[in-house]
Amino acid sequence: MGSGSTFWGSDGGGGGDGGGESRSTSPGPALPISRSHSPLPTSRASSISNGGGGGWAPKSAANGYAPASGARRFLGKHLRKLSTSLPTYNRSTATGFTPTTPYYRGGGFFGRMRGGMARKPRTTWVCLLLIVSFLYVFLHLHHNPISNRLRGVSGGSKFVIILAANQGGGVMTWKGAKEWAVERDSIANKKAYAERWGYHLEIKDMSTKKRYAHEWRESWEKVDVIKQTMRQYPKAEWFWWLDLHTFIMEPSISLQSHIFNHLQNVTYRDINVYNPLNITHPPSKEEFFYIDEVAKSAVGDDRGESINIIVPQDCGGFNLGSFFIKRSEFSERLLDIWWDPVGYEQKHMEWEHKEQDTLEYLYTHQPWIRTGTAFIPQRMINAFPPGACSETPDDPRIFYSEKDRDFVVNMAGCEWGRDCWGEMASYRKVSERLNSGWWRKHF
Amino acid sequence: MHFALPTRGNHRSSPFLTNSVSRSYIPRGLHRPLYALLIFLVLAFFLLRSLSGPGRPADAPQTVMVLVLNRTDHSNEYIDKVVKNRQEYANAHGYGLFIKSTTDYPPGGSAGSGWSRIPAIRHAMSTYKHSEYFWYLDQDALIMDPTPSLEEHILAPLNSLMRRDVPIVPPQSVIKTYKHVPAERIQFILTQDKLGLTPGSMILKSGPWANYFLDAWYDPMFRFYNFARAETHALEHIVQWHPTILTKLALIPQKTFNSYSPLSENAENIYSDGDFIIRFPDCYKSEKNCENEFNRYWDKRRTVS
Repeated sequence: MGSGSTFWGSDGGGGGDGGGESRSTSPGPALPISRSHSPLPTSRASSISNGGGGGWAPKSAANGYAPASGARRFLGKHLRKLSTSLPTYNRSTATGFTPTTPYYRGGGFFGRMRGGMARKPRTTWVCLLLIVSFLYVFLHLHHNPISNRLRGVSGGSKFVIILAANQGGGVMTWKGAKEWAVERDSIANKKAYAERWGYHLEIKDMSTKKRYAHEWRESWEKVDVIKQTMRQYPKAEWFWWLDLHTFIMEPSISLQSHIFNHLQNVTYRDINVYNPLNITHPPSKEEFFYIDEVAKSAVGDDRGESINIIVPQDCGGFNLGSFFIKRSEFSERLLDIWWDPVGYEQKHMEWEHKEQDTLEYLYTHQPWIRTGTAFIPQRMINAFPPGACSETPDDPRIFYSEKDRDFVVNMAGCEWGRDCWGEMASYRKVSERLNSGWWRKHF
Repeated sequence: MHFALPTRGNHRSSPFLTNSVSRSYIPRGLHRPLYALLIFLVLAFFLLRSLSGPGRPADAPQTVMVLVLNRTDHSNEYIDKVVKNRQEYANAHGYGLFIKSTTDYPPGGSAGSGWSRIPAIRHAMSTYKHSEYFWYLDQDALIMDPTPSLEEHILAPLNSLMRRDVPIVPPQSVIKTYKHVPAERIQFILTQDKLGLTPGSMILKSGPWANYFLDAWYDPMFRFYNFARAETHALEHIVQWHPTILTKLALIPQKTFNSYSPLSENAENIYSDGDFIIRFPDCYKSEKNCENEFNRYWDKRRTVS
């Protein structure tokens, strides 16, 4: 290593043993080859280097010639020197560097590092720790384009947030300033969250339209939208449906750390944990004595991989204002059977919550659904404001708690007699206040 | 690479000359015990897996036949013959035989006894949990030639048997079977007659798809909808409306395992000598007699000696 470093010392004439060595090993015959490779300015450069005696590449590069030509000339002259002294892993870096790069010292840099590491292990560890923590803060915590890209690569792109915007689409009622403001706030909230963690955000127009040739299936688009989004993002795994009147209160929490890194622990398979609909679970022995063991079990096969849909429950049963569905064969089947014309014909007057009521029905009557369904405590992804679920105002499992820093608020049903804009604005302020510290703001 | 000058031997500036630095992370003396440990762990892993895994018992049949008996309107003699016929075939090929009665699976309400085949197949699947194929064959059928096994008769040549791009409900329903589904993806094999799909003789492959399909078919919404032909129309309905079902379905020629008796109403693809199966699909109607028709063919059947 000693030889390499003195060889590239900028003082040129350095009379160390390395200098002598380099002079002795750089042969005369290499020069014509390098000239033939060089473009026009080289004629001057070579004349200078000839005049300079010894052919020091740094001098010519310092004179302002293109580094490429300098590198080429340098290589032409000193290829043999490089290849004999460098360890093999260093070769690519050596060709990329120009001689003017100040910290470049041939094989010497790494060599010196090796020596230093061997001599001062404690300093080395401190340096490494500093570098790692710096990288962690600026690539993982800090919000910038590079870290976003990295998060995308590191699993963020597995998640797609589907935001159902424009519900009703102004067909039923005129869309006023407040409705526009609610929509703007809600979209901005999800956009910032998705950007922060590298998730995809898909805003879907849910306006009431006659989308189908027959009059059936009007405003039952949830299933179609999910199917369409799954086709749009063929590499994503989990799809998070969010109604418009939701607000992510804690944008600094990622979905991975909140739910998916410990899916088994935050969800429950046995609906009896909280069963407002009083669904018989496991399926009754008299009616479903013929089904398989997994479907008979209260917890299915109890493995995280078999969870294909994660549903929160409110005081009235399933709530599909905020839920997760995974791309899988199971969900393909579920999305396919979810809407059926015979069921629609019989029940569409009765099922005012459309897909939600259908899912409850399917869960009750088709045992295979239970093997892929998991529930999540409502406040994990779907906390209610005091106005919703007015039947059970004291239930601690339902309502948003500022103290516990609940993740998402869903102002469910605010469009019927409550003030969506007021609620949204107040929760936005709460969220801003809770996340206002310098640490929260920047990391 | 050729050098103009010879290298200068083992100099300190070239740290990677031969054997100057050991590249191994494991001290030399530890190699042999570590390899031994590794081999031991691998062996232990495979041993434990073979012992504890959901291994398939050696006596589990590959294929199970499902028979649901309707004893109410038939003599015991007739029922015994049906059972005997199925037993002959199951014994000849080492299949399981799952026999239940329609009264075991009351469909409830106004639904007819034909629905009971659906929970019966699911029950057979949960009983024989290591078996792969389940062949449901109606009581009104007689196996005429027990020599071919299901594997060689239907499952192996399935790719060439499959009828692609034909309407689900003849003659011209809009929904047709897929053109390019490979036989390996098929989970459900049946035939159709002049009127539509015939769930009187069908093969299902067990698994999550079969659970889904049977549960969806048996949904109370269909059971109590008063389809004109009950479970048959419900089947046609879900096949045509739900591509996840259609894509797993194979229609094969009717005579493969569903030849009709010449006396049946839609007498196409009627039985000829050498056919695998004969069925008497509407023999229960008042002017006919299932047992007479059945007995006429009873002695013509071949048996495996």
